[in-house]
Amino acid sequence: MILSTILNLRSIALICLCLLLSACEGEIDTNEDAPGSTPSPEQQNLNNNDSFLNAYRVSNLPFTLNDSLSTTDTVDYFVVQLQANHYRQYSFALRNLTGDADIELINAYLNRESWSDNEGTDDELIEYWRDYFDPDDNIVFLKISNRSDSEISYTMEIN
Amino acid sequence: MKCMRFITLLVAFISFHSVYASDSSYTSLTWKNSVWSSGQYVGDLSEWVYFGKGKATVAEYRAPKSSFSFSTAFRENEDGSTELESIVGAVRIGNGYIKLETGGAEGQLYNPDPTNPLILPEDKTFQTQLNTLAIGWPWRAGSGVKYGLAWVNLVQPAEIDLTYYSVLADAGYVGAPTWAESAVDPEFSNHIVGYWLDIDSLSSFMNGQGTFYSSPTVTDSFIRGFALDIEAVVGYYFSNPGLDLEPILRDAYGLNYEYVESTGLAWNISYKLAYNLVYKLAESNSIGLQLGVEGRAIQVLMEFSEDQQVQSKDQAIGKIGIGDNASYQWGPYVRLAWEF
Repeated sequence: MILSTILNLRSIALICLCLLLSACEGEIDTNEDAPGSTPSPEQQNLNNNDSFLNAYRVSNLPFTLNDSLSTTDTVDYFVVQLQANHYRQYSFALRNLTGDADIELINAYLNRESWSDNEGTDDELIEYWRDYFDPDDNIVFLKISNRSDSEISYTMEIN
Repeated sequence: MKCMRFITLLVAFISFHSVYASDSSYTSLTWKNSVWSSGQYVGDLSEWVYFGKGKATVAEYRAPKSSFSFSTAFRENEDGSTELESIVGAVRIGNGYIKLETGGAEGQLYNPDPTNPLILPEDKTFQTQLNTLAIGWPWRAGSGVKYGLAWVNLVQPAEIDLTYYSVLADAGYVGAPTWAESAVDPEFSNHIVGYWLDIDSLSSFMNGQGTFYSSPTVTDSFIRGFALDIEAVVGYYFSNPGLDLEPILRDAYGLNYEYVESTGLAWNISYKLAYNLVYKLAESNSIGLQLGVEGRAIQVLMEFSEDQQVQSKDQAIGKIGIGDNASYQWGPYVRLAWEF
């Protein structure tokens, strides 16, 4: 009973202490007066579209493009402007592949919506039904990845 | 399966040896859902953390007088495969006591809300780990209470809060990904070093002693009642990130990433609350059935860090949110035990 009482008192004291101390947390300030410059997206350069930030911007559909990937430049990103308040199906295709490549559709919140990862030079196709509207600026990202050990070329078609 | 046979044989050998040692010992088998199952893993992270369904079978041998115990948990997955989930061993050395525990399971991250901006790694699988080393002494002979020092290392997913230059955070870029307020590090390593308290109700319950953690009722050849086991570690907290977010944030937003270390106070507690029904066969032989609930919680309570701020417009700062990464595991179990 003595142990029980002591432990109970200690437990209560510890819980109270923890509740008091739990309010202590170092804050990170966003700093409105931070020096330097913000990164600048470069969205019209097909030689530098290897990140979300510098994804090549596609504003008008349908869109067709011939491009290539190498063993050092292994990914291409595209940001596609969808039509606002327009519910319809979009298709994103890779054709005329000379090597293995995959395609992923990633939404504006960096969550993968869909993908196509067929083997070899088979075409890749994603069909995407746009059935909602939310404040995502009506954009989606396409990520094209080289899965072969050599340079490949592709034709991308967006409808 | 070979490993399971070996462990079973080892437990049987120890049990056999204990008969000649004339030391009351207990061997048990426990059936339960794996604590590393989605249903058993609750807390702040359960929205994104998923484990496969798994049944666990625990073989345990305990000799309270010599403070020796050995326990292994085997996980049987949905596909029928079996793997070793955890091992716990404890032994008395002189007047001291050492306990070691290691275990873990594979899991997967998933964001169920595609409109929630959350940064996840490309490889969404991870391996959790729970390692404990405790060194202690008995509080009073036969009480089942031990105290001392312990180190707990828990590797599991953690939510990293992200802070940006305020103008970027408000506006972002046209045609760029939505700013994520947090990222998930799948194998974030949490450490607690501090005071250790272990309350083991087995001896007092089997001896019919009533304490706040043991309430046996003895009638004829039966002992029945509730018993509570608790193990707690409270102390200094520090951590190590497992995922390098630098290339991810550079790729997504062109920002330089900096991680701020977190230190503070934390606690880890595990418990077993069970109803026991024991039938005494002879002077020192008995069999028992235990129906119980077990659980574990880890929570960071306080932080030592000072306030900081973003140093340049192209910087992102990551830091775990104290109190935001609490995790709990719990679930019912059934145990069959016999005393020699």
